[in-house]
Amino acid sequence: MIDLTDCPVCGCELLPDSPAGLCPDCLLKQGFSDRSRAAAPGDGSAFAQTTPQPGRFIPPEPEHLAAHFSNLEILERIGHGGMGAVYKARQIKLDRPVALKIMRPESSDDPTFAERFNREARTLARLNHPNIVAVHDFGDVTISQTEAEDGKPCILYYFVMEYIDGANLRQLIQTADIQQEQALAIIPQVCDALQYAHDENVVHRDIKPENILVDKLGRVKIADFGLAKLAAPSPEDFTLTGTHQVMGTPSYMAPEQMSGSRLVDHRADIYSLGVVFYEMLTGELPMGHFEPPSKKVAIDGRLDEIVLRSLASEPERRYQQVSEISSQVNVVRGNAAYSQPASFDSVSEHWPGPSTIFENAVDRVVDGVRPSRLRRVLGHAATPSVLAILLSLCGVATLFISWGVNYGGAQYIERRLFQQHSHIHAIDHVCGSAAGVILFALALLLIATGQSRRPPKWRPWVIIGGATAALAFLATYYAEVFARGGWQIDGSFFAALAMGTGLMLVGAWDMRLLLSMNEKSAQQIKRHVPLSDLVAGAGIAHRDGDSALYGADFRRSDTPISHERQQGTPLTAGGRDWVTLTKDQVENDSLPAICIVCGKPASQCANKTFSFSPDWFHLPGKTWADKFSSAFSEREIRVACPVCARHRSYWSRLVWVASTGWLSIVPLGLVGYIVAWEAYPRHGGPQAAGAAIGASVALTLWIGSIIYLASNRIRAESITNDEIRLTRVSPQFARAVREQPTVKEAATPDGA
Amino acid sequence: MAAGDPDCDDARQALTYLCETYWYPLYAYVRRRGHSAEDSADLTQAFFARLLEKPFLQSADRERGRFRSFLLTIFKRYLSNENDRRQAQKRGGGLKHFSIDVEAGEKRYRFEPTDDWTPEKLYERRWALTLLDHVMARLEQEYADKNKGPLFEQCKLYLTGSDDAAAYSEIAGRLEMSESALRVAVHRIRGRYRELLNQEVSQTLGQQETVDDELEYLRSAIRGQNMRNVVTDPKKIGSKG
Repeated sequence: MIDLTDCPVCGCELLPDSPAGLCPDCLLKQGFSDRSRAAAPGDGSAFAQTTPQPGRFIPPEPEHLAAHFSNLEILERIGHGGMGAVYKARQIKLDRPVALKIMRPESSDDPTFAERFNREARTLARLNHPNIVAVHDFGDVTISQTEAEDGKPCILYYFVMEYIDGANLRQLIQTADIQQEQALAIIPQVCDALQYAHDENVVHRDIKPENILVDKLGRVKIADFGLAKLAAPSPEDFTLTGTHQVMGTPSYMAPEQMSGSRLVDHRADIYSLGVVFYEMLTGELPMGHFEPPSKKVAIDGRLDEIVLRSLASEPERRYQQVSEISSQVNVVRGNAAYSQPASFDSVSEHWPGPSTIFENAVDRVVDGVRPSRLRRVLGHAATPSVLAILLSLCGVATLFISWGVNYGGAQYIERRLFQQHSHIHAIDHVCGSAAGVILFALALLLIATGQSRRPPKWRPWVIIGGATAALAFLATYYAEVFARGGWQIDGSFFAALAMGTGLMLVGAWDMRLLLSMNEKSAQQIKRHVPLSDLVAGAGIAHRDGDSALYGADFRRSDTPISHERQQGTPLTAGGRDWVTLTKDQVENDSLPAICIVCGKPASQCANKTFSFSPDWFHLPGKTWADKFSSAFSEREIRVACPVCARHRSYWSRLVWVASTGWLSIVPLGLVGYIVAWEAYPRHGGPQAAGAAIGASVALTLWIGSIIYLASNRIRAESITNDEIRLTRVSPQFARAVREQPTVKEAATPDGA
Repeated sequence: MAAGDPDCDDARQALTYLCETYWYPLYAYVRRRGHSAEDSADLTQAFFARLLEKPFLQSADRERGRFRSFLLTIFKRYLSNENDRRQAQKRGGGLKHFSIDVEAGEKRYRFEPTDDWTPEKLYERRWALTLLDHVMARLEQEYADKNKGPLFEQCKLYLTGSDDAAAYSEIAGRLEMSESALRVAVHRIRGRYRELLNQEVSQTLGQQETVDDELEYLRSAIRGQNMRNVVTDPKKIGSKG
């Protein structure tokens, strides 16, 4: 007996006092009488009927069937359902594998059933196509079910059909990552089969992934033609290869089929095909208001039109012939090689045909961009300081070394300093020395404070300040040179100027890094998960209730406590907030109408593409597998952010300032010049110095404004497959999102 | 329900049976009320002795009520009476029909959820679990009597309704049976379990309650929710079973 900690049926935790180690809830459920069992509350799809009920079909054992089929050797049962079962068998004389499908009618004494069955079987037998499962034989047998405790003899109707060694499309969708090429290889074969059948005036009526089989060689076969007419509308259906019971899938039925109108013709098959196509490409069913496939996965845009037209609600607006679909698909296929997105990491050079479906059935194709080493280096906390040190030292070197070269040695410099030479030389030395000393001191300081992970708060300011000071001195020198009319530009000073400017930029960048790190550390401080949530998570509460709750913090036992914190609690810095948006909300545009920047009511939306590439320390994702895969991906999501009128041009303004702000250097420099000129009427140095100072001020202001805007920009902290986390949004927006009732995701047919 | 008929000898037997099976929920209840282990044991034992001596069952509306809530109600009444005259000596004057294993009770009590469940909730939950324990024990005993102990051990996983096809073949191999025979055996064990469960539950019910209702109630009792039918006021016995 296996010791379980969780009930395998309902998922609740088993306590040590559970009766016989089993879940008491499920044990009690078993006791319900049949009528109330069907409506037992809180079951969901986990409560699959496994006990054969009186009145339900109990498939006979292979041994019992053998007596009735003398020409077949019945090997094993490969599927069963509410209405019948499928067995693998072998035609003895012909020595070939076949599938034996038996069905029991709902009411055993239905005289019309035999008639219908015969008609359908003959129709099926007439269909002879490489992409349709062939029917070899059909008939009925009378069998007494002694073993199944039923006792009554009943009539079973059977088909003997071609045995397909492969998988059905449902299994492929679930286990293999069907790529565009493979889907485009499957669809034309299905279209061929359907066109043939339509030409023979046979409508399938039940096209769905379970009925589309793919064998090991990549050939596609459609099964269960016309059987939808045979079976009375019962909730269970059965497949050739599946063993679990699948609820009837009305999602594949055309609207005119669902409403029960009599005008159902071959175009209903086209609709179902469209649904299957969509599901193959995107992995999801097209429900309600759905996105075109090219928005969900990276595929050729022309397929959108094909899929959407097949899914038109009115039959008149769809394709009128299946062959039109296959010709369109082949057009796309022919050009597909040129429209492959470059980032796809395909396994083989040539594009894979359907036969590689099976090779890939187990492996998953990893998509994504290889990590850029440059970006990883740039994200490191110590990089700015390293760069600053290098730049400073270079600046120092250029100044002093060139002096040494130019003027032949330190002694000469000393002599020069203490001699009263012309004014220009004194300024030259003073400025140069001052700049050089400042840069040197900066480098020393940065080295001394070390390259820690958490840069000291003052570091960016020091870099910027030092650079500004050095630049001011250098600019003064240059101003002096120009004022004297001399155009000899000392290369070393020029280089030092470049270094200084570089330092300014490094300082700005460091500032930004620091700010982003501050936010992350503020988040980590709040680790407190309230006790009630722990208890609720660990208790016997229903699983689906928890995961539908907004806020990943509350998910039972999934959340590593270290990174999450209370949603909506304001950050310590600046009163901005962070919010997690689920994929649902982003795609369905169901964000609250509150400005994401300032919190005022907003009626407009601005489309913003958030991109995200993770840095060393903070990889998104809850499990290690998630984190690992997210480390190698760079993601982009377009979000329609609600903004108020004032902030509508928020981002464009940011870009504008960043790119053109530097132009203000010229006017401000001019202003400085004029000011100095007014103050000191004689020509000479001071005016130039004024200009230089004006320019420095402009530069500082520009960089400062960039930093300010950058630090207040909404950015994506992490993007995973299900959600995007945005930081620095307005607290009102975050609160509104949190309080919004969530949209429950559509349940998957086979249950969690 | 045999225990409701006061003149029948079977009544005493049935009642004895019920008391022997369901003493632990009462023990847990009185323990949760704050009494010490020994006191609780004494009280519970004395209560049962008294119950079996005197014809409590002739209380007017026994027929209408659920035994579970009825038992709790009269136990509460008994306790409130006893509180007035605390006497530690054992009662019953030698007519000890059964005895309570204090140690076993205490050991089980320590496993009870210790957060803020009221004694009533604890009692209800305990009742449900005791009932299930009892049914499983009976089932196991039946199979052991037929020398099918290992079969029961392996198959009881399927009693909760899970249907793990892969495990079927594994277990069939372990028990050296064919898979189809195993499936039939599982079907039978499920059927028998349901019968026993039905039996046990209907024993505690009157004529107007249905098994389904009681099962539903027991399910909610395990989770500690939804105390619909408990009579909290001892004076109101029989008004709403």
